[in-house]
Amino acid sequence: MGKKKRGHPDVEDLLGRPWCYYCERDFEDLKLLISHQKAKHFKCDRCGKRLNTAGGLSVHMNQVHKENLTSVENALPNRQGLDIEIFGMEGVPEEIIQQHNQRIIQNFYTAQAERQAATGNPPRGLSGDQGPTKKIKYESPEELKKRLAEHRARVKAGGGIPAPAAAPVDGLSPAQGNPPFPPPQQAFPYPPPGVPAYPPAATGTYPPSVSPPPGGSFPPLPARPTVGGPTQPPGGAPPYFYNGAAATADELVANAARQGGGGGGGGGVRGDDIDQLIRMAEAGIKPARTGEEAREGGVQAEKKKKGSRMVYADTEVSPEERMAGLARYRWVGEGVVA
Amino acid sequence: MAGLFGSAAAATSNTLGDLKQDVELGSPPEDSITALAFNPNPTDPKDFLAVASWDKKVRIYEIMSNGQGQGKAQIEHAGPVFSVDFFKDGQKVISAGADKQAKVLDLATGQTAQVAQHDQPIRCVRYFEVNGTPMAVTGSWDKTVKYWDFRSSAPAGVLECQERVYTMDVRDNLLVIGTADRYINVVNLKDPAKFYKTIQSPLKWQTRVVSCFTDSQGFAIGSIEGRCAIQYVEEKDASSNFSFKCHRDPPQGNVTNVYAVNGISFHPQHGTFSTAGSDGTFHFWDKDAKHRLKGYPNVGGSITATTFNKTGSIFAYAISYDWSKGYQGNTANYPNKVMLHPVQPDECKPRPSVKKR
Repeated sequence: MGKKKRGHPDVEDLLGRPWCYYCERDFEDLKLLISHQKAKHFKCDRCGKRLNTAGGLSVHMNQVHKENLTSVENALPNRQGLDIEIFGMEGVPEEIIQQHNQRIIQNFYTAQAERQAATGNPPRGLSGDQGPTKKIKYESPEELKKRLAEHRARVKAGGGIPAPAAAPVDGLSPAQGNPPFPPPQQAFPYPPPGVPAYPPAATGTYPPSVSPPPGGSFPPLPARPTVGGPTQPPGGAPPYFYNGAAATADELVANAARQGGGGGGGGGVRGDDIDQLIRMAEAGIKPARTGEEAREGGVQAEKKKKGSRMVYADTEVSPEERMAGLARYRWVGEGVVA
Repeated sequence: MAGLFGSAAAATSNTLGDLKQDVELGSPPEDSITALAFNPNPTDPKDFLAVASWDKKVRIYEIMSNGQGQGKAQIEHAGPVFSVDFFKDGQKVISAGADKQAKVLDLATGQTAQVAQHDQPIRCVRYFEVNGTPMAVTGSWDKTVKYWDFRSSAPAGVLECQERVYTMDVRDNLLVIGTADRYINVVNLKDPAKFYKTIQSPLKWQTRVVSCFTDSQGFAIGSIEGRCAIQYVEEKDASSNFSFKCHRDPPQGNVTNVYAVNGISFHPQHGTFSTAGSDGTFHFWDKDAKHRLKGYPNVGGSITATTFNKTGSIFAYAISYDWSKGYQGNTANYPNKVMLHPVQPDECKPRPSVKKR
């Protein structure tokens, strides 16, 4: 199994990308960069001819249109000068390259830190050294049955959503407080109902070599930690666990904010609900979101594509209709005169 | 991307317009502004601007050469006014709103007369002509579109729509009706009794506004999800249809705020158009080059309505609260005004179509 790309390129990859001196944009390869420069920076605005360099464009303007080119189009304010001859990556002054690289590196680490803060993942390659990052969950059929019975009893007794309070502490533990090699059974809390019960399923995703022999007692963990370094086994537990949780948390926060801020016509939001949402977010639990939204009559449309939030998200009713429903605008009848 | 160059700096170059020249219209309405209309008569040297508002009035201003407006006339409704349009000769103004009526004001005599009636508030009204006969079309939340000939109190025709009418626009013989649930009905006004075509909006979210091209070959649609679609009426032009994103905040973390597109206005001469949104910005676009011509900084509040005057030398936009953030967003100090933006020649001109060599 090769190393899995996670959509976040290495810093080396980023530094290797060709980029445009004039606008600091980076490109997959040099050809794209050159065509970008010809289209954006070296194109004649009189006749559309695309030149290879700013100097070339200047000469063209002079000879063909009898005009003087004073600055490079679409360039950053301090990069509009014609004095430097740029073609692709050639001609870029050394100090500018240094600046650019520094910026890329800085951005890379900021982004990485942000990602880590958001996902809770340890930095890549470090996980193996910091104690167990992955726990193998294994339950015998008897235990599964027992758990199911317990769960049923709980649902029967409590009804509805179980108190999430039990889950948080344990749910966050794998990376933080747990001693190395804890007894596997206690490591994962029972997921509360309503959450996709991943642990049992997860065993299946491990490569066979790491998964414990079924039915038997739990073997000592494979010698993974001693391998150390970047050879983190594929499918390591924390990434999938935390990615899922964090994505949920983000959504939750956005959700909570929206319901707090934009819940306008749909009636007030009770403080309890928000508290609950936050608690659940902390615990990394997917809330029974359908309930909340069903109550709103599907009014608060959930933007499926993560990352964008519609300021006005009512799919059914226009803002004017809502506004017209207000007492101060409601038009009562013929007898009423403004 | 925070770095040596903020993303704002990169966008600054020469596409960012400035609002320094913009003039605020004096004595604006007292409540949010719903619609703007300039008189379209090209032979009239004066510019008149009609402003409809939630304060139940339509105010008609004469725009002086120095950009100042002077109140000329007023139409009073019994409820908030949602839409206003000028007659072609610029002598009369038609407006409609929550009182379920449309009224015509004759600017010469100052007389107001009711000309249309619906069962529910009228969201849109437009003036048009069939073979030189003046007519009006009204679209209402009662899910109908009605035609009126000003001679009878009964409609000259009724079109049943699938849903509440949210927006309408007319150009020449093209009438486009946008309703709730994302239906778009296209009507040929030579045959006004039936839909020429019905489509589902290419945008996935509620239709906010439709606006016809100046050549009436198609129309633009704006949705609540910061997106516009360019749609041609005829199937043969369908390959030119496209949609684009607009009126979004730069992403913060991994969340992008997306705002409703409240207004789309086409420039009467260049055929380029403006979009304006709840985010408080407006932009000029060239649909043929698929290019943004100019963007403008935030004006300090949602833009609820926009229009060009007949020559395209003035771009009027209304800043007022548009309900996009619920009632909590409606604060007493929210700006409520009409701004007049003098259009510089290069702002709206389409780029000369140049062949790549």
